[in-house]
Parts: sequence; C-alpha cells; structure tokens
Amino acid sequence: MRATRHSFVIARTAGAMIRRTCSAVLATLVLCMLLASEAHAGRRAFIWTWDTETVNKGDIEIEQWLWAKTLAGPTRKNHVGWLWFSPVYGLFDHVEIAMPWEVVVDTTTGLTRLTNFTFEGRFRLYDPQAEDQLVKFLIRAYYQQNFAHPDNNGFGNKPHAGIDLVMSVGDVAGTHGTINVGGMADMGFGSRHLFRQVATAAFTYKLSDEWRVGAEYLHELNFGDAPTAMSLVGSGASAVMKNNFRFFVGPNVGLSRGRIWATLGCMIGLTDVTPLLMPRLMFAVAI
Amino acid sequence: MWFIVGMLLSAAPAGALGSVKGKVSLKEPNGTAAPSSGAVVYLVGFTEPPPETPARMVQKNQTFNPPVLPLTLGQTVDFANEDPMWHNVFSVSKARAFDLGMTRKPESKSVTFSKTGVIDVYCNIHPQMVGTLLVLPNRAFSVTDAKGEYAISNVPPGTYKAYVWSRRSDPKNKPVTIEVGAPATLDFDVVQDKMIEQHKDKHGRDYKAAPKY
Repeated sequence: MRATRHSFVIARTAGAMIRRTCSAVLATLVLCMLLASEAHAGRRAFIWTWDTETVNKGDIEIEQWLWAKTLAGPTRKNHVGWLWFSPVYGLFDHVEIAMPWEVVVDTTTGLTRLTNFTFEGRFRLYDPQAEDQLVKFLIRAYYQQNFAHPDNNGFGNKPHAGIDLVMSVGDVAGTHGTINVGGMADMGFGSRHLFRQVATAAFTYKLSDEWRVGAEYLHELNFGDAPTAMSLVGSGASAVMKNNFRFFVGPNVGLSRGRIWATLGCMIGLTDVTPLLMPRLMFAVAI
Repeated sequence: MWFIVGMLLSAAPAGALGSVKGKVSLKEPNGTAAPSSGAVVYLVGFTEPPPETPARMVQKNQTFNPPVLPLTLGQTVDFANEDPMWHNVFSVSKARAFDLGMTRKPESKSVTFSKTGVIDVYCNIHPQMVGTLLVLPNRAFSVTDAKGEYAISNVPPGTYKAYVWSRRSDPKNKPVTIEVGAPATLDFDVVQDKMIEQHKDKHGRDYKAAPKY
C-alpha cells in the first residue's frame, strides 16, 4: 500500500513538474522561433535533436561525436563517455544514409568497447530546392545492433529499431525551431526496455554567418519495468513514470566554416533519475 | 461605372507596346575591341509576371548553355545534364544560393528564383564551368549577339533606365524613353575593367585539377 501511494505521489509530482516544464519550454521555444533569424551556420544545429537537413546527393561527410553523461541516481558523480563515428552519404536528393558505430570509454580504466553499430536512413519530405518553406518534415529510420557491456543500458546483445519524425519551422540551412518525436523498440522480448519514446524540441539563432546559439529540450520515456504491455495501464503506469521518465534541457553553440562544422552543447538533467549532465561535441568535415 | 469607362478610354490599345534596340561595344582597358556577345541589356522601372515556361541552362560539353541567362523574377530554371559525366551545379550568390547535388544525363533539376540579382553558377566538379543568371523584374531584356547588337520589344511606353551588364564590368545605365510606333535606339560603350578571380568550390576550397571525364 505504502509503495503504491508513494509511487502515485511521485508520479503525480513528476507529472505536474513535467507539465510546468513543458509549458515553459514550449513558450520559450515559440517565442524564440518568432524572434529567431535565419541561421545558415552549420549543418547540424543541435546536439540531441535531429533536424530536417540532409547532405545533397553525392556528397559525403565524416561526422564524429564525443559525448559523456553522468550516471543517474545515487551514482551521479560517476560518468561514462562515448565516441560516435559515421560516414554520412547523400544517396538521393531526399535520402541520406549513415553507418555510425559507437565506442564506450570507461573513464576509470580508459578501456574502450564497441557498444553498437547502426544503419540509418533519413528521408526529407520536402523539395530541397524550394525556397521559403516554413515547415519541413523528415523521417529517420534506423536499425541498431548492440554489443553487451555494462554501460549499454541493459540492451545486451539485442538489436533494436526505431523511427523519428522531425518537423522544423524555418529555413533549411538553419532551422528556427525543430520538434522531433521518435520511438524505439527492442527486437526481442523479455528485455529491460520494451519500447522507448523520445521527444525533443530545439531552436537556434544566428549570431553571424559562422556562429549560432540555441537551446534544446529532450525527454525519454522507457516502457520496460513490466514484462507485458498490459502492465502499462493503471498502477503499472505509475511504476513506469517513477523510474523511466527522463528529461533534460540545455544550451548549444555552433560554428561552420568552409567544409567543417561543429556544435557543442550540454544537456542538463532535471530529475533525480535523469543523468545530471550530458555534454556533447559534434563535428564533421565534407570530403 | 464612369470610372470604369474612363479607365477603358484611357488605356492604350491592345498591343500598343514599344521597343528599343542598339549595340553594345565592349572594349579592353587599352581600347582594343573585345568580343561583344553575351552582354545583357535590360530595362528597370516596371514589373511583369514571369513566363510560365521554365528557362533552361544545360550542362553540355562541360559548359553551361547558355553561359548567360537573363530571366524574370519568379521564373524557374531547369538545369539539365546532357553530358555523359556527373555534374554538380551550385551557387553561393547572396541572391540565391543552391546546390543541386550530383546529377547525370538525363537528370534535370529545377530552381525558382524569387529575388532579383546576379547569380553565378558553377559546377563543383569542373572548374571551367561558369554560368550567370540575371534575375530581372520584367521581361524587357536581351542578350547581345556576336555583333554586340540587341533588341528588346513588347515594352510598355514610358521612361526607364536601361542597364548593360557584362561579366567583366560593373553595370552601366542610361535613360531611355519608349514610345509606341517609334523604336528607340540606345548604344553602349563599355570598358571591361573588372578582374575575374578564380572561383572556389562549394565548400570554399580551391579546385583540384579538373578530372579528365
């Protein structure tokens, strides 16, 4: 009984906080979208939000991320780092493909381990040559093979697949604001996370032809405490909220010059079960 | 109703348009004559809607054809690859930057131009490919022929500024009055004193040696 009431209080408190935070973030996002100017600098304006731009047909970029996160909960002072690397290729006018692989870095021992390999396609659902398109859409679909190690969120060796729907408001090269809603599902049963839903929102503002600044919001909801989908209803839902809802906000800054772009930012966790800090540096060079 | 009658009575008869023709003489800074084809004479002072038919700039024999293409604000240009090799048409001009990606015969990509200005067009693979688009507010323009002669017709009567543009000079202008039934004549003498710098690729790098394909 106590556990149920405690879970309900936490869920209700978390829900109210989430609603207030979402309202504030949404209001800020809308305001900044109205004030933001055209931002051409850089190709990937955000560190966690997918945008609607892709490389042109025949173009190749080599993209790399360096990122880390503090662990959630009592171990928040510990952290883990990753290296993400991928060639990105413009397959068609509307399609870009990437084949990233990710390595986790044990910050205690310095050892590295391959954590996953992904194949993904990003499909832009608008005419890349048309001007003055206010709203643009992109779909990202991916398949990821995970490799078991202690820091891969319990995915073990299981593959998973996911899809993101991205909407941006503004011009192509530098979006004013972007909303990204996605979901990911494990391919196998009995895993810790049956389904993950992710949503982000972000805006960017041009300071100069080369520099821009922005901010992002991210939430992640993992459905996986219960072994079956039926337990996601009623008391099962409160258990889900307690342990599996994470959300962040954070600033970013970007630079582009010639054939190189870079974006640096840090997401800040807003609940106890959310990692406190997730800094990320992304950069790429067109070849 | 009387207002409408007045408007109808004051309107010029259908087809009452004028024209202007002339010659553009391009010269080098030392006074010697230069090839006078490829200059553009155009009038400003009124606007017209663009034609529905797209203009075409074809990539053929590793050149842009035509190398100079004036068009009307809002008009679409089809960039068609008629070469047996890849091309990547792009522009970094402020009036309209674009990048069409890699194309091969018989692919054609279209771009609509909604701002007036001069747009330099290049190929990211072949540095020798250089084209220019002039996006103009109306259809009153003409490209000079091999003799440097031009002719602009279907111009509403009035007084306008006539400009001449060439790749190696800043635009010059003169006033011109267009009347119905009396073609105007306007000649230009232009000294080509601008240096053309070698352009860079779409990433701002110097080109590597042009491929042999």
